[in-house]
Amino acid sequence: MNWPAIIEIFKKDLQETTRNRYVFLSISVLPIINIIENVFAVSQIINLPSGVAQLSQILPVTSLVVFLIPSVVTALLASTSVVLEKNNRSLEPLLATPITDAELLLGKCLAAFIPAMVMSYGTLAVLIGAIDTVTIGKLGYAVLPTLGMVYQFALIPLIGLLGTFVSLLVSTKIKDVRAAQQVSTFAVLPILAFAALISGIYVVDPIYQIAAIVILAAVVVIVARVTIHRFSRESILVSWS
Amino acid sequence: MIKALSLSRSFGATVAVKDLSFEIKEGEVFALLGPNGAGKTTTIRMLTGLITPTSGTCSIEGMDVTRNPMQVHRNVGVQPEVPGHYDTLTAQRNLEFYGKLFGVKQPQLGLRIRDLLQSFDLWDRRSDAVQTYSKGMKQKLAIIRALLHDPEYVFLDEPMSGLDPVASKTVKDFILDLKAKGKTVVLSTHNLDDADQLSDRVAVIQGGLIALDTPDNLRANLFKRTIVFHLKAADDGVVAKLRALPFVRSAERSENKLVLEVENPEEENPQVVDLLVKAGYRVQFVGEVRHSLEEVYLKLVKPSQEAPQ
Repeated sequence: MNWPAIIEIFKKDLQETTRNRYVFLSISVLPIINIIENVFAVSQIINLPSGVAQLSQILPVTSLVVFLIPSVVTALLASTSVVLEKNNRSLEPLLATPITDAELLLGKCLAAFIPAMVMSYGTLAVLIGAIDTVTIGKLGYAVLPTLGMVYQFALIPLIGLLGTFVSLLVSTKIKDVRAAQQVSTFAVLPILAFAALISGIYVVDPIYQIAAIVILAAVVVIVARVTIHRFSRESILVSWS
Repeated sequence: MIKALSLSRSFGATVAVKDLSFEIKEGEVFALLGPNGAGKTTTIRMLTGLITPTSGTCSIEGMDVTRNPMQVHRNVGVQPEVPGHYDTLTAQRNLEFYGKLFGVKQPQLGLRIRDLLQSFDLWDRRSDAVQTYSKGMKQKLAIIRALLHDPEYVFLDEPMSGLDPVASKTVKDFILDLKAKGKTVVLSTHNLDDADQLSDRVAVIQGGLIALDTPDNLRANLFKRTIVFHLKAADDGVVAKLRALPFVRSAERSENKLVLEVENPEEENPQVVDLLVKAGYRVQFVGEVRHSLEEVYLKLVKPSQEAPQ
């Protein structure tokens, strides 16, 4: 693996993303809305007579919204990074460099995955801090993080990877940036549903939780292989020109 | 050396390139000429390992391009037909990105970028986003990108497209400079004057190979040598006298000019001049008509339907 080239592709894609106002706004709005919405909900519930009891029920669901970020952000970034290459017609000179398909894809994956992870864990940290600030003020103690959230933390990278590979797969077939983003976002919905299902609310037994992580990891590997296999430089050059 | 042997490439039912064979020597400037859809871009893509041939083989320095595309990419620079830059990034950042992918280390990369940008008059605009560049500037930047890693083989697909005359001259001088440095340059072009000025040999393709030779040999093979005699005064009587000469293939008069097709002007022109002077005609100028590569091309290439590039 040519790691300097992979890191260079990652850095270039990241620079392009941050200069694309449309994409940058799309991925920035999601965490902000999540934090405001959840903190507001907790601050309202905690004032109810049965607030503490209700809080213990909604907290796992509150942290669940963080799953939205790795899936949607990777969908937006990964699909955009490939389709922008199509629109700029920049793929031909890129493929004329001594990099393999796997190195190119890995660079593009990192450019979607790493920002999504930073945003997911960053949002989670801010969310935990904000909710705890509210509950400490009212109840005198912090309610987050719960033990169940540790399992959810472990799921975030897998959801991010799956979202990245599914989006790359989608974007190799679609020529328009917005269409690629829409289809990718739609395609990650089943991932989100599956993640919610195994997130610790319905599956609470640690053995089942580990099994769910293994299954998700296996799905990530399969989808990654399909994506690399489908990412044929020749078909891309011929069909995209 | 670049070798293409029976190269063919189809896209579905459409045959873009059929049974193309040629060799390109080291240090040669080789032009691919042909109408739109003739298969020039497809040929360049096959030669540079971007797409695989449906049948046939191509090699660079004895290395099979299809089997060793990564090694080939290290040794070739490609300027595609569409520049394909990252428009939101600066020119310098675009070049740094590609330089690093080609494994050029700093400080050599920085020096190389500076030298090339200065050669193409883009140094002062290096910090501007490429989206602010004109079409010609983008084209020059694409050529610079192809040369960053100092490749031995340079493939230029329509390099003069979109360039004004000054920029076009810069690029042409640069191609000649590459040749002087012993680099092999393969260019596809619609501009036949450019091909005539720059190329050691040209391949005229239209699906398959129609002709391959030096521009001068192509002219000589397709056209008889034509000589024009400018007289102070001419009449039809002189034309009849000239047609009677055994080595004159044809003779026409246009006002005071006589246009003759002959086999060997070096030997035969003095005899014609002698005849004209003895017959009382005053010869003002004698010159050879040089057929343009465009005339050669038009004689070789038939109008056809466009095929995918």
